[in-house]
Amino acid sequence: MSSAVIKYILTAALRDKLLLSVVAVVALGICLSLFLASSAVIEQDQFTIVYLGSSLRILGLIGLILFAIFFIRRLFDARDIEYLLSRPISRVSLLLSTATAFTILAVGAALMLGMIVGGIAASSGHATGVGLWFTGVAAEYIVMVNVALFFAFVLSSPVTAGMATLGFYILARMIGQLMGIIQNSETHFPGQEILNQVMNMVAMVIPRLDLMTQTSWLIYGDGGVQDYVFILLQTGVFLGLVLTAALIDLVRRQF
Amino acid sequence: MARHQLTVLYILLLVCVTLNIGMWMRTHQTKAHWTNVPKPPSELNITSSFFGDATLAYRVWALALQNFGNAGGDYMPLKDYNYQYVGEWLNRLDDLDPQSNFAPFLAAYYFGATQLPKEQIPHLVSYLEKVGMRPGAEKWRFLAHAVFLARHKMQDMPEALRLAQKLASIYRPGMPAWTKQMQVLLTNEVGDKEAAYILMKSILATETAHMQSQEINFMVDYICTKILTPQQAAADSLCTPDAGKK
Repeated sequence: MSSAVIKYILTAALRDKLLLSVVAVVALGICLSLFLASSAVIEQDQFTIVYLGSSLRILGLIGLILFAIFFIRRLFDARDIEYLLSRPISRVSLLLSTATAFTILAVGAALMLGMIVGGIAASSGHATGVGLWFTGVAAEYIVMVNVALFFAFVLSSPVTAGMATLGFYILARMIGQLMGIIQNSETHFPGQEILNQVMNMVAMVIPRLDLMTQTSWLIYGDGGVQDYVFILLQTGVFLGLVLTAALIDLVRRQF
Repeated sequence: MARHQLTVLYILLLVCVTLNIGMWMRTHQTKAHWTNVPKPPSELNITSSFFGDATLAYRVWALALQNFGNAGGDYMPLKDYNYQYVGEWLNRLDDLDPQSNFAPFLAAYYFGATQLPKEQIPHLVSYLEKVGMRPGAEKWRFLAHAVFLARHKMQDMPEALRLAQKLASIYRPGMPAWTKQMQVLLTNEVGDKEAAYILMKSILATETAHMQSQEINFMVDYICTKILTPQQAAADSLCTPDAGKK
């Protein structure tokens, strides 16, 4: 791995005002959440925490994905990648350094969210699940920013890569429900068996993000050690898959 | 040539502005039309609406249910609501988050105040019964409220007695003694306001430790402004300005 590449990407994030964008989004999220939650007749604290936690999580994720995709496509379009590979750095090292830098950004963004949402949750007496929620958000960000890296390497258009990454995210959040439908479906239609098999195969390479980050942890704190283990295991297993796939694409690519 | 083009563009801009003003004149007094409480989506659709985040879906849709009757600045009376759909919404929300007290609270204190109790409240009572039978987190008080609604709003004594028996059957240490004797209380000839006063004051006397401050404030306000007359409220210690400081 190259510390120079990592530093280069982190500097690019600062230069692109990613940090400033996150601060602006946080301010907007806090204002909107407080405004909406204040109209609830009871449980206003829970409404604020849920709105704030969920909205900031999704907005932060979109910011990270967009930065990762546009950064990588810019590397290709400006031929920076060819310049970088002309230096004494291997393709494997370049990709792993990029993934490490993105992971640092993901953890940084999750940390910021964790402090804000956790602070508000703790101040209203809902602190028990904050640690688990923060772990889940950090893992979700790490997974998704590396998925964005994969699509940005594989697909040449930033719009297509962005749509593919968001589509992947929605599928990963919904895959539990889709599996539930397949297993408990009482209706039958032509070709259903084939569709079920296809969905089962898709599910094998989709992480269960719905289990990794649960907003209910913020207000009820009903998670446990097994949730931490699952989050870490799922993140590790899926990162291995997506980074290997991205590596294969980069190694085979001809510049 | 350029000047001629510019003149044509200015005329075009003027026409466009005029057309926009025309549209505004046609629409500026048109308000959003209230189409009553919509049929709730399926469990899958309601969860899918927020990327599979059931807790977020619950909080967004529960607040929407609270505000369904507020259409374009107009507030619809509860008697105009489709209570069958309200009941279905409450049950759907219950699937998303069975721990929250928000939806049961709406059912008991907000939707329970309808002007057509006999026709509409049965949709709430079955929901409150389901929630009230659930163990933990002091859910029994919603069953107690279902008894009150059945007895004093629906005027359905057999249903009230059945619910009171259920309330007595889930008695456990820590619950107030009156929950065991509610069947006896039902047979007393008291008016609905008096019964509501007794029930809510009893809950406030024993359960405030398990309730949020907003919920307590709402119940105190309900007692002081909806149940008691201004004269009665002035004489009630609960409604005096320094009551909250005690």
